[in-house]
Amino acid sequence: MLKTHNLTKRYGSFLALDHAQIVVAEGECCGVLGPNGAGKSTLFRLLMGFLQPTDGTAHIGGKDCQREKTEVHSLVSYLPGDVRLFDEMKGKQVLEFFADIHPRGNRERSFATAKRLDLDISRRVGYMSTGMRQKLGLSIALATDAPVLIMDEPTTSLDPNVRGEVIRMIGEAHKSGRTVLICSHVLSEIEDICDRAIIMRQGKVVHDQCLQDLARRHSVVFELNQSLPRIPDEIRPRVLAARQTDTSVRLETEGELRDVMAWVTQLPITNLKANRMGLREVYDRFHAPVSEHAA
Amino acid sequence: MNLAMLRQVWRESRLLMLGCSIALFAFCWIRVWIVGRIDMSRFQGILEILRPEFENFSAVDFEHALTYPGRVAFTFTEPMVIILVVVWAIARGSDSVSGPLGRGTMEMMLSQPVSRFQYLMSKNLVCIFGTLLIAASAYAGIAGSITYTSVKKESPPIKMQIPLVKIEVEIPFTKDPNAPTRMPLSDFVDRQDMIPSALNLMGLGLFFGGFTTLMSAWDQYRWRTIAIAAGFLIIQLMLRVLSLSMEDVAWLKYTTIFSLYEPEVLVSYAVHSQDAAWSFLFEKTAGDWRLGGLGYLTLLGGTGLLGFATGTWVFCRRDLPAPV
Repeated sequence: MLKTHNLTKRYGSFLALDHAQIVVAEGECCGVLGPNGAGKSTLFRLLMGFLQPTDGTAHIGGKDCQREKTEVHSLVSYLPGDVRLFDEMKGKQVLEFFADIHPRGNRERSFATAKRLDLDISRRVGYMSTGMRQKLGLSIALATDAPVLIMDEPTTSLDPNVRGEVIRMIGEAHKSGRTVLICSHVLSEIEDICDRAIIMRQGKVVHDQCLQDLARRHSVVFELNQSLPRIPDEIRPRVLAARQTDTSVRLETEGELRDVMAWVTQLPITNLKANRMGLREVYDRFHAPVSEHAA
Repeated sequence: MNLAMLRQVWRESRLLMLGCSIALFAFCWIRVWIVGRIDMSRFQGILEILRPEFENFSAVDFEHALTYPGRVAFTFTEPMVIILVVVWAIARGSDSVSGPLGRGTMEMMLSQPVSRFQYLMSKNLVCIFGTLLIAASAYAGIAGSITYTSVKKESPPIKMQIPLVKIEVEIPFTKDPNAPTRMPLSDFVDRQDMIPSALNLMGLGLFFGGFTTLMSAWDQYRWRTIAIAAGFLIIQLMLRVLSLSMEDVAWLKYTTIFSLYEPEVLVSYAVHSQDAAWSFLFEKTAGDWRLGGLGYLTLLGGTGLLGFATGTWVFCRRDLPAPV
């Protein structure tokens, strides 16, 4: 449904996006992660045709994002990172306008979405708070029945209740068969609704993680006052990584945990901890906090 | 053309459009009414003293400037008229690309299935329509005022010169007591003579609309677009004044767009020959070719339309930066 090939954007000497190769299948929900300046918004803006790529191509629904912008936009419902709408109009008028301009828009659906988000649409946009404007943008994007949903930080500025509601609505859109590409700094949101997570760093796609696979991974941490013995061959395929510092050992495992734990407990260990691996652990591999890097 | 888009642009611009149209209509009406209230024959002596200065700064003959059509024609060169047309053109032109980019509304707008061409064309069409409406309001104000304003008409008594001493004396009983004291201004000014000048005003608006749209299509900040357009307007006006006032730098007239905005000249053409006012180019005297009304309109309006077209071309190809 969505495919980029060597998608690159350069501003002078600054490489904002570096040969991005992304494929999102129809009906898939894909999260894009990365710190500020990683190239997430540049990727989205290239997909929407707002920027011209320095190199490479992008297609949505088989349509070229540069040459067939209008056709692409009729397939996409987009929420920008910074929602700004016409200050002089009332919320209701804004919803009506966007429902009318998009062939897949619907006024009633827009009003219903706004109601679900507890938004007062009788107020002028100019008098709305940042969170209310975000809700208005979400009402526009979520009410459009386009097969692809592209959202740049959809839960920014929202209170926890509405944040949960928005995540539920995106999840519903995904379940109804729509393809979702979402960018967020809240890792739990991506874990809750996405099938895949793409991690970006300095304009590059550095990791592509299937979240179903991640759910079968565990992190086993223990203290050991000797060097780690050789991992037995029968469990070796399930141990993805093993790292030992002075006293502690960390194993990353995939699949059944029982036989790995059986081997570990035979060793002279203390303080054994086993956790299901989360996106945080994967993310930290590429973007560990500065303090951890220093350590 | 996307109707929802067109409606939105109309909604954004209607107040300014109506405000400028009503203000221009009222101003032109009052300006012509004032022409009817002032008897220029009383000031003729004073004005004769100022003739050299006047001719330096005017593109029309002194004699024509004192006639009713000449005086009505100067309405089009009033600063208020030029400012209202230019304010509309710069306000709308600057709001075509750099305005929504600066406000951040462009991104949400262009994520809809509306092409950049459709988007800017909607803005351009409303800008052109507004310019047409504002120029038409100016004409309507002048034409309406010509119709309903009356001017004082005296029938002076016959004068006789006394031989040898060469003194003129009035013969009192020759003054006609039944002569009408006020006559309609339309007896002296043909409303249709003002049409080429109104079109010239529209051409000026189109030029500034196109120029500002082009600047806006390149830019990201509306304030900068407005500053460029306003600066350009001031420089062009200064060049016009310099080119008229100093013979040494008369060549400067080729560098200012205001050499193509001469509504008072077009009225003087229309008064003498309708053909000249409605021609592209005409021969005033043997070998002296002058631009006619259509010439002024084509050059001003054509340059403006070229500005709209180039602006659209630039906008369809540029990167749209993220909202600031």
